[in-house]
Amino acid sequence: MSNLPSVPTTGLQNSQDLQNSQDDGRTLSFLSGNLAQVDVAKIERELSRLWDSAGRAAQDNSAEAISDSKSSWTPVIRACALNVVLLCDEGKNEREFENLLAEITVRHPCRAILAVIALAQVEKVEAWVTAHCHFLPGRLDKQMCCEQITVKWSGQSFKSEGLASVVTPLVIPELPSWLFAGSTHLTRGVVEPFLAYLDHLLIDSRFSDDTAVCEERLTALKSKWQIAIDLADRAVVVDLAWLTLSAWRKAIALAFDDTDVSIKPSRLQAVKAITINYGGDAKGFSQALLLASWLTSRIKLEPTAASLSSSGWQAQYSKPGSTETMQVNLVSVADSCTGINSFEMTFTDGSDKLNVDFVSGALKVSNAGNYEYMELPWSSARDKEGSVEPVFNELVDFAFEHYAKDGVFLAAAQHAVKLLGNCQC
Amino acid sequence: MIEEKVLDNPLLEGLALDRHVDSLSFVIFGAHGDLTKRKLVPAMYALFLQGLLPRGFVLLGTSRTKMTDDEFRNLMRDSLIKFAPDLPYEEDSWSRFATSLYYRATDSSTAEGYEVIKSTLAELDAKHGTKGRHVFYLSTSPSLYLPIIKGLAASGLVTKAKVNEAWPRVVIEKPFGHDLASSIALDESIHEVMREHQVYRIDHYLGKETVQNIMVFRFANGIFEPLWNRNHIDHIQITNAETIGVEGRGAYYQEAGALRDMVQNHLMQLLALVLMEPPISMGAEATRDEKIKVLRCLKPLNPATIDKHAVRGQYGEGFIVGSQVPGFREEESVSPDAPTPTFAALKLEVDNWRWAGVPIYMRSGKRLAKSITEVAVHFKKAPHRLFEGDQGEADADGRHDNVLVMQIQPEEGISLKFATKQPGPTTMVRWLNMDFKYGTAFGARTPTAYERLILDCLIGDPSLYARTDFVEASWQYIEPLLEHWDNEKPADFPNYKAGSWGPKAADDLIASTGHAWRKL
Repeated sequence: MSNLPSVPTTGLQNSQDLQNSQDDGRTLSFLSGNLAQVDVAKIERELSRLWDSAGRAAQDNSAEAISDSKSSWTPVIRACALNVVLLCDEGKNEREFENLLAEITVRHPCRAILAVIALAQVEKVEAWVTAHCHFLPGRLDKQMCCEQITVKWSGQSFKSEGLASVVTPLVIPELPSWLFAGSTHLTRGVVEPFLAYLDHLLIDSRFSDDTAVCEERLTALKSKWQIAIDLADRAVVVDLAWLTLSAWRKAIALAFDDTDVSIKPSRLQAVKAITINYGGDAKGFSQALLLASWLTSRIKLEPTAASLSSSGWQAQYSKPGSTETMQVNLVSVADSCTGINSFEMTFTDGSDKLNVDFVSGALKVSNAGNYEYMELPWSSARDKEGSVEPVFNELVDFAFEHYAKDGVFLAAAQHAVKLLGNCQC
Repeated sequence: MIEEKVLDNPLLEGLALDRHVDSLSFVIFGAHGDLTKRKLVPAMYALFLQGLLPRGFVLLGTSRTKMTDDEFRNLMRDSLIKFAPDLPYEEDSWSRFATSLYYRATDSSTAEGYEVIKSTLAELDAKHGTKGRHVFYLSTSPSLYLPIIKGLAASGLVTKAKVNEAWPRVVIEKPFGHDLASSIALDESIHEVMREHQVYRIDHYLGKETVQNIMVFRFANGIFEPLWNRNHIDHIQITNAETIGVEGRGAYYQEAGALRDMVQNHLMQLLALVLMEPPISMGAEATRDEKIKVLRCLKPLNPATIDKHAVRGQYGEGFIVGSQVPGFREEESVSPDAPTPTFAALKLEVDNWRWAGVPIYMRSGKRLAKSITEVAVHFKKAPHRLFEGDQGEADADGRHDNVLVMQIQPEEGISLKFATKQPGPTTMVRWLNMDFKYGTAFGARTPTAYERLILDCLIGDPSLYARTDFVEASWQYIEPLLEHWDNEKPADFPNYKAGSWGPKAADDLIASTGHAWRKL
């Protein structure tokens, strides 16, 4: 239910009041979103002190407000419903993740921990704290604040256990906890020390180095899904690329249900070929491959061969107990929307042809002259020509709100990994 | 049902299909009324913003008032801005939504009126691809329910669907009848032209997040349900207090009164959710099956002892938040000698294994000191008073009880009162509340009750709607009280001041079993 536009993050509205408090403006700085450096060994203690100070300032100013109607005090509420750990590199990556946290905390009160990896000559660990405050929906009399802890590990070579030993004790027990590992750090060795304390792993298989050569790109993609499969018994693994496919999967699945384009489910055994057009090069490719792998894993086809060339990707699947094969074509479309653009399914006897197209901000599902529109679940993409993808923050919102262990995703990822193992560049 | 589909269609597995809405037309009778402006259209717009309405969607408003489509759209836009400030109004979004809004002025008492609706729907079905799927929402005076349903049936717009067919659907606002006989008569007439699964009796309380949370709280947490019985619960208080009076609805309220307006529907639903056994599933009928069992276990009110179980009141003039307000009999469209109760307090007994001997107190009233609706579950006290110096308000024996409060409005949340040691060198005990508030625990906006309920209707999920047997059982329970109060005219009305907590007799009622109303 959080697809409604968000409440803007405001920063604290009580500057004058807090400047007058007794901690040299440190509490004000904290509540205003500025990073305040703290002793790594005393992060929790410092946070307690700052919240305590904010609480006392609230009491003082409330009392003042009774006698002085000009007081601008707006009470703050410290809120926390989950832990979010973001693992990233120093620099651009770090700033992007900081912005992401500022957005996430609007709708998901959490303890946010930004674990930053920096390359430096001297090995050291530093920490900062700050808060993200925003008004409650529809109310200007209260602000909700979430705390952010930034832990930066610097050194010549990154030691995941070292950073995890600072970060994981900061995770608040008994609350859902998420780890989002930025692309360059999504390796099993990096992620595993964190998963002893965190129960959800967020990955994004869409991120890829477009300049890498074909084999490297496929290996990197295969590695991400393999990590998801390997760690699935230790954490709920969520691939944002998979989430972007939910509308497409629903549209295709319902075409075989009791909707207006109804094709009998038994016809899934007579599929001849699938063509998926996608945009966004490597980013769109991972989505297209995952969509194809979902379909083939659901109807129990086995990958036999695959090849990737400049014209796209072709793969053959065999049908169990049959000599018939099914063809999958993944076609990159230049200058099109990032992500899946269209889907086509043909059948052996030629009587049906299922098409799902991105039209006017929705998915148009059609077969033999009948059609139906399916709304996209993403408010950031809905009814916007030329954008089929949700914005990153909306995807993360969706993951936090809806996600549980998903065997269908794992089966699709396994199929994709198997196919990538058979692929020739 | 979903599981069967998955077997047939392997692509459905893992998809959240239960919230899928087919293309449809939503027809509102009484579209010029307050409910449409304040609740229905804002709820529809919120659903639209969340992408929960299908692309093929039409909202056709109808009432006697003459208006063009554009005038209707403008009226709805102005109402949205005025009555739904928490919804982000954006010109672009509204313009797209407004293309689905249409209006026809009709007289629902004539066959021509239905012909206009029928031909308009046929036109809109073709234009918007709504494929003859229609929901009719009766946002009218209750006296028009039956004529409209009959008119819809006579015109062929409403037909008796087969068991596995979902359309058309009709949504009816409370009150469902005026008493047991009229409720049965209304249902019989409805069932002549529709099947029960096509009828959606809306009780907006059931759409509130906190009301839905009662089931989650009870059945998703392992720690409360073992205590949820006569062994650990001392008594339960359900309070619905309003500071407002009849707010221009004097003529309606004079006929209805507190029992019909609140107790028979909203409070009985709350009662059922708090007392019911765990349903076997979250299927629509499983929950409703358990709820009806609660009403069937209520010990019937005996006319001979009814005054020991129920108290009525009517407000006189007084002060509400500093403003002087008139008494009920001085309200517009109210007779100067109206015997209508604006307050009712009941002591209920439940004859079943779980609740035998646990009194359930219920009170509902207008022009009370504060607006609040809550369910307070009072647990039994600790068996021995170990600590001296309990602070705060205690019973005569100096002991407190743990109280779990489910707050329905104005702020939705849950609180638990418990004892803790006061800091210092003594063993002084302080009683504190551990609070959970929906508004601050989740950053997201809480959807309104109408959003949830309308969406459920569009999907075809009647779980949160009142079923015919519940409505009938509820009327059956309060029928002796209605008759008794009709026969014994009140001699002391008005018997409580506006701005108070009701008549003294209500305090005596609860005190007769050794309890006291919560001070709210």
